[in-house]
Amino acid sequence: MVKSTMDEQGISEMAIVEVEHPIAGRNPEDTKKFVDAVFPEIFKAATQWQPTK
Amino acid sequence: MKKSLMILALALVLVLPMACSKGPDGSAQKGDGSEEAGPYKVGEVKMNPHPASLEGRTVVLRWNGKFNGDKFLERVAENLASKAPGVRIVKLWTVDKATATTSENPENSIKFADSVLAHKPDLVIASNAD
Repeated sequence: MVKSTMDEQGISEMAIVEVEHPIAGRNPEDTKKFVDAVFPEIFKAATQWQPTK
Repeated sequence: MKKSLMILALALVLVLPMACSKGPDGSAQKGDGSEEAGPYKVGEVKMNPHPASLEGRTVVLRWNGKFNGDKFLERVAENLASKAPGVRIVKLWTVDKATATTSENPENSIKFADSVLAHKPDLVIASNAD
């Protein structure tokens, strides 16, 4: 869905971090653990991602 | 384990005006000769490299209203503040409640992009939670 939207908008690349579905339906504690587990990847994308084009 | 729906898209906000570009008169640009809604042609968008450090930078968090995505971003904000002292975090949905939804159409996309840009962010983190 994201990639098709990017195509429509003329965006050839973007930093995307995929996480396990779903985000909905998690209690607050589980959500925190869930985010903590993927945060290193988010932070890396936020600070190290470079365009290739 | 199934990895399906995407989640977080990180992009420098500087590209947003291009992604949601306006014509010279400020109107959204439509396709060739078409007056009906979409698809809108916006041209190729060139992305900027992300800042190597977020310290002292402004990060806008954008929630699309999907359930629990705000809680997800709340925790992202906590972790960012811990990892990058001095980072300025703007939770867009708390300062512009109208943005806490999917954009639905190009006009709303432009409004939301304008709302993001008003905070002069160095980086935007959007949760596409579902």
